[in-house]
Amino acid sequence: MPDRISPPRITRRLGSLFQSSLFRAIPTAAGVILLNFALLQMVPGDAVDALVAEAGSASAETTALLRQQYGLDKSSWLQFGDYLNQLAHLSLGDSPRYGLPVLDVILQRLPNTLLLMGLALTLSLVAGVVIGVVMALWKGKWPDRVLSSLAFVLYSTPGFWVGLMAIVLFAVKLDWLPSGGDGTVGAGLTGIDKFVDKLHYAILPALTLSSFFIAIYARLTRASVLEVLTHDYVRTAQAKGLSSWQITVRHVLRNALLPLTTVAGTHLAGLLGGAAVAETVFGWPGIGRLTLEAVQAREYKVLLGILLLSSLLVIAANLLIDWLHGRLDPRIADRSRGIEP
Amino acid sequence: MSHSSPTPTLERPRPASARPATQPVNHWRQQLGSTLLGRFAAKGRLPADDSGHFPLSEPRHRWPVLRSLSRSPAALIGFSVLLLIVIVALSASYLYPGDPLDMAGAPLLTPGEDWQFPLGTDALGRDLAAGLAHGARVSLMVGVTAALVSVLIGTLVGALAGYFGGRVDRVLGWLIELFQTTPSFLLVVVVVSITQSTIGIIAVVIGLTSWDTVARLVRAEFRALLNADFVLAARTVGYSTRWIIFREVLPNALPPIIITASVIVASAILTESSLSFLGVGDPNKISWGSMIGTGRDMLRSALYLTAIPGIALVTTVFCLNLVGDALISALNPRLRGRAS
Amino acid sequence: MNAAAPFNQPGQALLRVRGLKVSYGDFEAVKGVSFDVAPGETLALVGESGCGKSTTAMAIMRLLGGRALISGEVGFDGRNLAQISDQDMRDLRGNDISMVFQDPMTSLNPVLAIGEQISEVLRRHRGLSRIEARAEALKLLKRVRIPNAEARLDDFPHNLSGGQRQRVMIAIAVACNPRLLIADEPTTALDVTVQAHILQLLKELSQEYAMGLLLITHDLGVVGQWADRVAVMYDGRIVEEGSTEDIFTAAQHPYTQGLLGASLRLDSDSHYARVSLPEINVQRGANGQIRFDLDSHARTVTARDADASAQPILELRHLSTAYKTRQGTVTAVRDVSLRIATGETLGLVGESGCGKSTLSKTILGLVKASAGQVLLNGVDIAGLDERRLRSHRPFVQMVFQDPYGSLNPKHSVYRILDGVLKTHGEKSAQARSERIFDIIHRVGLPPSAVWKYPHEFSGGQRQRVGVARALILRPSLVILDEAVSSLDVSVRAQILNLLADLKQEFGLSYLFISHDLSVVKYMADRVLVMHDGQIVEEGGHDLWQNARHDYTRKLIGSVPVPRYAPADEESVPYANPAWQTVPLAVLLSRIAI
Repeated sequence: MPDRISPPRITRRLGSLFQSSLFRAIPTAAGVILLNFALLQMVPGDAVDALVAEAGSASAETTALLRQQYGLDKSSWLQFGDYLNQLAHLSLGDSPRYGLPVLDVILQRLPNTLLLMGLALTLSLVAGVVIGVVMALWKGKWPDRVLSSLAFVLYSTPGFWVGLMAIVLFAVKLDWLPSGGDGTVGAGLTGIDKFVDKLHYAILPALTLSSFFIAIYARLTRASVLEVLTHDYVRTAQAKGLSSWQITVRHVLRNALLPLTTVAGTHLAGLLGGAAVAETVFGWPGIGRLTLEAVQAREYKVLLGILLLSSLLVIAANLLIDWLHGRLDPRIADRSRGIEP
Repeated sequence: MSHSSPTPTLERPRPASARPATQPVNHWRQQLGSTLLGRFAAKGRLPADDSGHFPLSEPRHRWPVLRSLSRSPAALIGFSVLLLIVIVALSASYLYPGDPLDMAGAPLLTPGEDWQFPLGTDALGRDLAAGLAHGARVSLMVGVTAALVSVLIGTLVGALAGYFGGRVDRVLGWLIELFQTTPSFLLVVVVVSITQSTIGIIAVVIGLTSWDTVARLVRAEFRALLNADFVLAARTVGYSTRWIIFREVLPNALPPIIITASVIVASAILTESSLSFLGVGDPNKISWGSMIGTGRDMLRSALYLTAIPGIALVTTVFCLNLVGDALISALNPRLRGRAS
Repeated sequence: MNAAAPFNQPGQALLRVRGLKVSYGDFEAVKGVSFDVAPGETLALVGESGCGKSTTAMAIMRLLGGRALISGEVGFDGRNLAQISDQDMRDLRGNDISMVFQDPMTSLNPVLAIGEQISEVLRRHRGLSRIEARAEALKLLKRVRIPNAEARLDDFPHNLSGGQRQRVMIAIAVACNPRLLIADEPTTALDVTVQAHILQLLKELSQEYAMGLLLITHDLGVVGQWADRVAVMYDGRIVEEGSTEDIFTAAQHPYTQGLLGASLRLDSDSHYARVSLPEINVQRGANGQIRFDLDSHARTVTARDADASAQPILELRHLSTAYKTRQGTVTAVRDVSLRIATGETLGLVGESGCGKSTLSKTILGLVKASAGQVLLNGVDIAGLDERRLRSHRPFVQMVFQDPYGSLNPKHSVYRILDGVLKTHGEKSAQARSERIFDIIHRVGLPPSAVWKYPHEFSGGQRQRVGVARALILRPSLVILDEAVSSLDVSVRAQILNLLADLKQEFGLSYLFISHDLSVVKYMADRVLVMHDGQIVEEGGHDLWQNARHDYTRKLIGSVPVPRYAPADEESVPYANPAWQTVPLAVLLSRIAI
């Protein structure tokens, strides 16, 4: 009968870890809000100017009166207070062009972008890690050289160009995949069928978006695996007589992939930017394309709403990643958190 | 053998029992020196010349970094191509005077069709080659400016945070975290559309969104270096803080900064091209991205309109990355002899 | 599986190594090595860094990686391990032959629980189920005397101390009852008191399981106390081999004699004031032959004026240093008072974490003292700011432990020394150059060394540069903080001789800090023992025989001392009662460190 074994103390550690992550996230979120407000203030002209422009012209007194009415003549501090109040009520203002609250406009498109980003992230992680491991294990031999060169080229290519060339190859020449849009028009699909159809259209944009990151994760994994292979515990594992497979998976990979989680967090912001480009190239109706539309229409509220929401999204995702990292690396929980270099 | 005892310039209270240094040097020390140091063991005499003057500088070759770089074929190729691009960029106004956005010839000439326009023309009859040359100038200018801005701000912030620690570190760390969380591309788009869309502003704004990487790096380096033994030793000797930072810490922190700078140049060029592609760039200047953007409508019919500027773009960034990679091995004295 | 193998007849060696060669491309690390290990016997493979002892051990286990070319015979169980297939070798590793490595901090996988790492080897070779393996792992943890073993099963390596981690490594190694255990410097990274326990454990286990133990080490004290037979290696070859008694009492080869002479022992009476340490002079002849010469001479240190009323060079009065960490305030130095007279060498002994480094940093003003005074030549420098402190700096300098880390890798030696002189007012470039070449000469380096960069030197040479830097300002007091701890025995002897000679030449006073009692015994005139931030004992040469404080006795008792003394050396028979009680104390003790 085995001795009674006490349960691991992981659960206790996670609670305090999550608290400290949260603790760090709040000032960052506050900073994001502050930044957005500052940018809002920088916008040339305001709502009243827009109204006046539409009306043709107005006297100075009318303009001043209108400002007073809309509360736009208050000091910056008070305006900031108004802004916070507005945020607390989960409102980002209204969009005249779309005739809807800004938040609604954004939320309409957000799921599409999230789908795209999710697909791209998964693809780049899986492909990147596999390629990176292959490169590391065959270091110096031809698989490594070929893959490294390919990764290098991919890493140097802008996403939009990859997208365009992908369209030329897959959509035009081979006709395997659609060249744009998010669903077959006029097919009247619903439910699961609609989703599958959507996925079909998401493949090329996701591939485009992930291209840069596949290269990065491949190089990172390669470097990480090569570094871990020099660590002493790998030698200990060999001294135990374990098989290569056991050593690679249990000892090497479990440690080599840790830095990836930290890095993946910093790439989320980059993914959002890349999504803007990929969505434009493929006509994918997400918030990236919305950004471009808003720029062209000078819809600053929408623009800043997107900026704010995406920053908050990145903060939330980073919290998740911190939690994941804490689960994977038991050393983290016992270190007090500062800013990781 | 004997040697003169040097007179110290500072007076030091000498313990009464001290003996003057007139002991003959034991022969074993010389033997030890020659065995341990092998080929560069001298005869053991002090290297004063006939007039009693001592050498003040080293009699051997310098610039180990450049020598190491010149041995890597990848670095050489990358560097030469980059040099070519820089030359083309600088001489763009001479090679292709006038505004590249002006119509120059018949529209939609394919490359090689008319020898006046070796790379062809676009739908509006603009010369592709002129566009490439002027576009090179734009890309490089944006890349270098953005890198300079981020390195300057990032190094300053990172150094202050790493040096002072404590509250200063926390505040600056918050600032770094803020810029790291905000999606940089979106931020650039927003700021550029709020202000003006000119090359200068684009370059500076891209720099303002990339400094956080440099700052984190510099902060980590400073923190590690300031605790290193040789810095402690420097403090023991009594060097001033300024001396320590500039002479001891910075030279060791510089290599990663240089490498990051090369990465930022590459990524700034990519960002600028994405901006121009989307139509958010400077409308008065031609850029490789804008060329690809206008050529996009004719993807199926006139592929060369997107392919040629695309290849130029990829080549430039590729060479920058080659040089950056070579720098990583060259700047680490322990890796200098070996290939990665 | 591991029952007494049919090949293991009495008298037959467990491991038979014949003509083992290991080469990496052109470079031959091991040049033909032969030795035997009998069951239940401990063979020590001794040598300095770079001699090939670790490479030999790794070659036996075939852990060297693809670039190494192994030839020769490694006879085990009637097979030649150098030639069997990879799969066969994997079946042997961890099962019939096990290895314990040097650094317990990095030898365990940081993301797997302890229990998992032990179970792993049991499941691999014994085919146990998860639950069975876990129960067996628990038994093993108890066997290696880890307290609170049940809780430890799910802990991670970073939750354990260095000594405990090494015990876990040993548990992993003996899990499947191997017949041969190879221990590569198993205690080098551990404190002296922990070291004794670990070696005791290894010995017990080897007797209990009738294992052969191949012990790789550079520490002759360990060899003398624990090994049955010794093989001495140099430059990839075994230069001498024999029983421990023979080697220690009647070594034949000059290199062995040099090593023995240069190894400081707690039970010998040699002191820097009377005799210099023998230095091994290696010369390579034209035909590749190596000649060893030993060089040693007597030394007479003129008795210094033992004037008690004269002002001490350094006096600390109730010095305390505390600093804030995440866990709260830590007082590293508590109420320390000491005096160093002019021309004296004061030794400071303590294990890691006792506060000795913080103490030296406080004296130098690198760390702010929280209370007390630091009187340098009568002037209190404890509270001075950097600017006012600078004028005092030339009086006291430090030589650091790590020859790699204490020199700026980007500066040539000339630049390093030039900067020191420039800062302290030497304006003429010619005068600076002259002083630089002079000091380099005095520390025994050739003039061309001046243009080299730190990474081009060996450890001992770098330490000479460190000494040059400390001495170029002609200080009165030099603090030597573990200055010889990272050096090989023979290099250490050279540096200690250099330090003793320079002390006499320049009339220096030393504060010699080390965890190594034997070195302190040789180098110091008076000794202080530090523990947990406080000075617990102070004394002269009588300290070693009649220590009063418990901690001091424990410390002295833990130092491995060879069982045999060389016949021709005058040595005082070592009779500290603490030493004899240590084995008993260890057996009864339930406190594993």
